[in-house]
Amino acid sequence: MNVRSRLVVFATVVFVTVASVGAAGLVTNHGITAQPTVDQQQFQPSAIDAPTVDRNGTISYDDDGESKTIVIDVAHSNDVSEETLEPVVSALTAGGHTVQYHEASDEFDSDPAADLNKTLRGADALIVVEPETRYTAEEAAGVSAFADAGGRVLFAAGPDSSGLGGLLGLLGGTQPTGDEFAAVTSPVGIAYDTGYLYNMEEYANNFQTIYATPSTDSELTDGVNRVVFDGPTPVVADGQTLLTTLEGTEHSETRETGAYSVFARSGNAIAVGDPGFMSSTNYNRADNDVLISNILEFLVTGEKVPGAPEETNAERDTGMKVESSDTGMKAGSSPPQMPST
Amino acid sequence: MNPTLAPLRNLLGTVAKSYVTVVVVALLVSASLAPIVWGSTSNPDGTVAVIEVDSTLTESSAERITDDLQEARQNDSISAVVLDVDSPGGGVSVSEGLYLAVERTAEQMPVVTSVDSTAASGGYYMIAPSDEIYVKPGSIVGSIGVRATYFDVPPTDEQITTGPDKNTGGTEAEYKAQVEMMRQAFVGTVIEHRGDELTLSETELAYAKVYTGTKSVENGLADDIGDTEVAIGTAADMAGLKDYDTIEMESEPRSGISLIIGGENGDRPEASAVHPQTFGRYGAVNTPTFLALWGSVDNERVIAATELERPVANETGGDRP
Repeated sequence: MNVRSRLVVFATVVFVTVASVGAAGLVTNHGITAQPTVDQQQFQPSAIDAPTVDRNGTISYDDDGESKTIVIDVAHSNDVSEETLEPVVSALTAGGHTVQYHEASDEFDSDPAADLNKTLRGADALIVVEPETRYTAEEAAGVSAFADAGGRVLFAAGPDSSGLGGLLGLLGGTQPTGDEFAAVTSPVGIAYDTGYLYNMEEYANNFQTIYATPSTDSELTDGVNRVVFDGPTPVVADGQTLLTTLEGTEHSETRETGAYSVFARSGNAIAVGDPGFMSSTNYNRADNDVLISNILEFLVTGEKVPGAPEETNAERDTGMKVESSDTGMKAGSSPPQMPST
Repeated sequence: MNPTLAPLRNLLGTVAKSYVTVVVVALLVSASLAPIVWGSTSNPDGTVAVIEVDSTLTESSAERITDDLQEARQNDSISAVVLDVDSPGGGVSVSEGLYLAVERTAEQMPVVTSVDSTAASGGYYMIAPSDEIYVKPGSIVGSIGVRATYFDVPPTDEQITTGPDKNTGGTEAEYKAQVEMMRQAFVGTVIEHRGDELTLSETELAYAKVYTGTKSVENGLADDIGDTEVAIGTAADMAGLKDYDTIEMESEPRSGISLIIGGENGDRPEASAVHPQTFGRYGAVNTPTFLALWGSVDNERVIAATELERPVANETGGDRP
């Protein structure tokens, strides 16, 4: 063979080999690389729904045309921030009523009960939110006498997180309001439970943000369809239960299911299990504004006997010594020494 | 032609034509082919890859796990995967990403999980698509829930922002809605993959309780009592492997530096995380973060949580959620 024929043989062998390998590659080709996708139905936006609660409405209420004085207690280390009561204070002020803060006297020999009674004698309604120091028996007697005399009282407290705090404080989110409140609510026929309420079936985006509906027809629940509370504590009264949570609500401590009372009335006193529903951020959710309007109407339409509560013997004995420590003011301006949360 | 070569040529011709030569050549060829045939008939049918998940789920730890899962899918010799899990969860999006990677793998080959101590919250999220879940009697399983946390409140004064939510990212109600959406995806995933086995309702799942291994077998969050060896055997059986190898796809953490979660002075015990971003700590910047985690994080404050059974340490006295 000459050189030329050898080159031909060489080229042929190379061509056949490469062509064979190429053909084998085509034959054994497994196709294209799969494009990863996420098709999980539960991840698609259409499968997820977390609508927010309607937020509209304003506080509007009727009164009897008289300018009333509403006292807000801040003398018992009350856990009440300006934000908590701002809608209430603004609405009362706009309605021509006077909001007065009852502060603890800083005088060494002051008598807290006498101070409170003196304030209450000039008041038509009292609002007590989350006291963290206990009412004395004398103070509680004064509040009770005030309510008996026609003074309107609003108690508002939820499960208190300020007590033990720390791990326990957040475990359930809460600690019971406890004895601090019972001292003043019990004499007027109102009792706060411990723990908080939640609902795992029907809630507003969080198991603690739950609904309550009227349990009876009353002026205080007139026009209310449902109210939103954040982890309220149950509250009962020897009078009327006004709002109950939905069936299926559970108690954080007992884990018992039921429809719990969270707003109740005993005579001239009413009590609610979550002060937060009146706050700036919550007052216009669902029908909260309607309930607040009704509560304000209740507060400013009482007919209190003038001069009640009467002076106690102890007050008379020391009456000349007692100096007023309360601070009258038109609400809307900055309250003095408001505790903040 | 050289007459002296003629006898030699005849001899070679005779040798080439003899049976002995044919047999010798045949033996030589056989000797070279036999190992190949031996290998094809006696080597293991395939390999079971064991992937260890033994930390909180952060972007860093998840990257290693997803890489291992991808390797298992692409390596033809790997026929099944066993997840050897001990994790209380971690970031929500991290857990979701791991879930997708495990689900993608389970579509291609058997994936069997063996729970050591804990597969809670995000640690359960990721193993939900497993074909089988083995637990020990004392394992802890469950905590199907999410929470939003923040470490400190961004200052709202002394700065000018372009919108009311620039610092916080939204209102508390909006955070609650976001957490609720993540909860729905989480619970929906568990129902999707374990619905046939579960005796717990969707509501009962949402309590976010943890269960012992024994209890979880009863309520369907797990399938059976077993350890990693059992899981490997089951995975091989599901892949049709009668004879198999096992490889552990364990790798060192990407960073040997242990970063401190919380604690300004760095004197607090390590929270077993090497990727603080998952917990909202981006160097000097702290952000709210969403956790599918069972357990506490130092300095954690909760904005909103979906779960009831939420043990949270709080050293700064955060607000009640």
